[in-house]
Amino acid sequence: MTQADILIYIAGALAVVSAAGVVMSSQPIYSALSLVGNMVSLAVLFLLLNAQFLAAVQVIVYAGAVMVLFVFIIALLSPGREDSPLRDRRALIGGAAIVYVTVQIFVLATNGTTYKKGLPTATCATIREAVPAYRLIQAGQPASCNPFPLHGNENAVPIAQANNSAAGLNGVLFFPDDVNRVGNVQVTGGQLFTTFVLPFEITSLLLLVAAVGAVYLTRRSPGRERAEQARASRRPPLPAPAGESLGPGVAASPKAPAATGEPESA
Amino acid sequence: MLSSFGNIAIFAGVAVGIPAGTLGLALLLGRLLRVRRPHPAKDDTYESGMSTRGPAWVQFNVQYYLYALIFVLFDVEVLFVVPWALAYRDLDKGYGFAEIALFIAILLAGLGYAWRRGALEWE
Amino acid sequence: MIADLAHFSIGPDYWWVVLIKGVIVLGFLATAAAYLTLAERKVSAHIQLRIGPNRVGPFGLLQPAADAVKLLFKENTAPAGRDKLLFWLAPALMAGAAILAYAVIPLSGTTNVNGYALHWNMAHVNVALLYVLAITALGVYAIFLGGWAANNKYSLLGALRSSAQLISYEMAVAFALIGVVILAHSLDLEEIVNAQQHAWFIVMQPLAGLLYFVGALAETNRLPFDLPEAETELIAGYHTEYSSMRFGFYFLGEYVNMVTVCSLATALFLGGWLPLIPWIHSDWLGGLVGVMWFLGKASILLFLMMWIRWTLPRLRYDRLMNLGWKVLLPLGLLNIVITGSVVAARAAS
Repeated sequence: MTQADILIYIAGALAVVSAAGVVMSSQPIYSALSLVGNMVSLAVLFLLLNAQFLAAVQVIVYAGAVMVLFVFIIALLSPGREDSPLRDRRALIGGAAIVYVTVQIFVLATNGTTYKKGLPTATCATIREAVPAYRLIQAGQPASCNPFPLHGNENAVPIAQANNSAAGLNGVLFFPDDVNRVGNVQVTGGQLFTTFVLPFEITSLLLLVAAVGAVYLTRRSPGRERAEQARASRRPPLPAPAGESLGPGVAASPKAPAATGEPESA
Repeated sequence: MLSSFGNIAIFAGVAVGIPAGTLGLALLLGRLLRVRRPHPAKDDTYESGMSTRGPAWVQFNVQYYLYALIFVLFDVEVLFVVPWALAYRDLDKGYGFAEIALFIAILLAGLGYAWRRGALEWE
Repeated sequence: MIADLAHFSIGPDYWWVVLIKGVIVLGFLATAAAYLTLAERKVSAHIQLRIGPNRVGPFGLLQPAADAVKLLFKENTAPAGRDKLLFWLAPALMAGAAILAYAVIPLSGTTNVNGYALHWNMAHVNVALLYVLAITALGVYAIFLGGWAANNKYSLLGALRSSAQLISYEMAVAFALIGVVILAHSLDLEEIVNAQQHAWFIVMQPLAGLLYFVGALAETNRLPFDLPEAETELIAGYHTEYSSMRFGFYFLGEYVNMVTVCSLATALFLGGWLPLIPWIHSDWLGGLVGVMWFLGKASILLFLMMWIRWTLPRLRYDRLMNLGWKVLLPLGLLNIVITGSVVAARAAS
């Protein structure tokens, strides 16, 4: 076992433990935090697989943005403690069944796939010769011919077409050592903006749709809001029930975000 | 091959180990040194002299959530621009610029919509 | 056996080299944070025509030590209804995140010591800038959880305000940094500094520099953006309920954060260790002199932050969010478009 193997087992174990924490925690905030831990562990796994950009994205977007949103929702709804799902027999049986089926599918899917430690060096050298974009790679033999840092799957070697090398980064065979020499994010960018331009621009449209949807669902339209304000002004103001005040420090500041509605709703 | 993140792992060990050790020592020392006169009032929540009513875990302004929602979208967009910025020198300039200009224009449309609908207005 | 152990590594460098560097950096950050509190009091005193602490040691130089001892002696109280685990974890997370971000900041250029390439940072990471962004993104939890766990309404409000503010400005900062990345063609901080040999990026990217500095003020919760703490309305916000050493850790985290953002600004915009007056190159001493230049530039930025704190009033929350979303973010996008078109125009001509 190499050091990388040891690290991958540690990170994998952390990922499994934190994933278990997500479903086992009785408090939603701990579930959410376990999920953050899980995402960071996955980021470590990505690092060990030489995918630095993916690891950074994993932490920044998932752990740093999506989970902040989750935590906000949890704080917003302030749900109470839940019973541990382990006490529910039906949930336990159902869960076990799902795990069994998933494992079986996984075994079936990987059946017949053999894992090799990289390509034969001769093949590797031939490919290197054949791809003109290799001029980009600086002089010096790469440390290994291993397409993946740990267990190379020969069938899975992504051989990009050696066409359209306008970016100069195209058509590179993705051996991790070579990618690291050029720079992980540089290679990603080169691919993203030449080979995968169309998906990229479509993604921006998708994000636009998401933004519009989010704003539309959470904001009432100005017209409706005005109508409701008009209705509300005709109604006599309700006396605030006792216990809704948030204390003098907050009430004194009209701009303070004290619009909490029912404090004891939890 | 292991990347330089291995160094960060070691540093994380140092950055956690030494302060934790110091803190442990400080707490141990503190337990011996510091005054300890427990009183129920000391365990009360501080609210400028008022006695607290109910838990603090209450529902709050939905606006915070809306900011977080828009933030997720823009965060994804930033991370799409980063690889572009790195590859820009090697890309065909007019082509590369048009790509990102289109991307940013679509982005701005989203921001403009949120702006116009008052999603960025604090209430 | 001993030799094997000495050559063991999980990174590109021997573990003991990293260990020694780690201890030095940690000591440096702790000392810097301690003396920044003194500097802050001195600066504020002189701005307000006072003298500031001058009783403990010459010029009050032993004041931080006295403060540490005081924190140690303070009774450790905590609200009864708190979430015990998170209340304990949050301050540690704050200090930890602030320190970890420093791992990739190069204090000087790589120096050749008897054939050994000595990096002046913990880890020479090729995605350093993304790493810093990722660590900053996780720092949000430290503040939010601390405020949430205390079960205090002021704390919760402070925590919410702070998290919303942090994420808003984090994004504006990220967009501002794109301009630098275009010019430097790298996310590696050492290469970014080396790309400034001819002109510092503050000259070529003044808008980005300004955006970054404003964002940095907001991310460290400094005035005029210290809404989360706003003592007049929220009574220290997310750390209202913290006392003794736990409070000390929040305090440490905040000041280390200041050092980190100012160091990052130095590397990104002020040419890092590059000297104004070239003097010594490429050896041991040159490396050390580089560190001096770096720290000198960072100190100026730190002083600027204090100056601003004691000069400007606090922004109202709605204006703060407006500034982030309606001014800084569009300006950040504008900066990308300008930089991109200038680079394209230069390539064409």
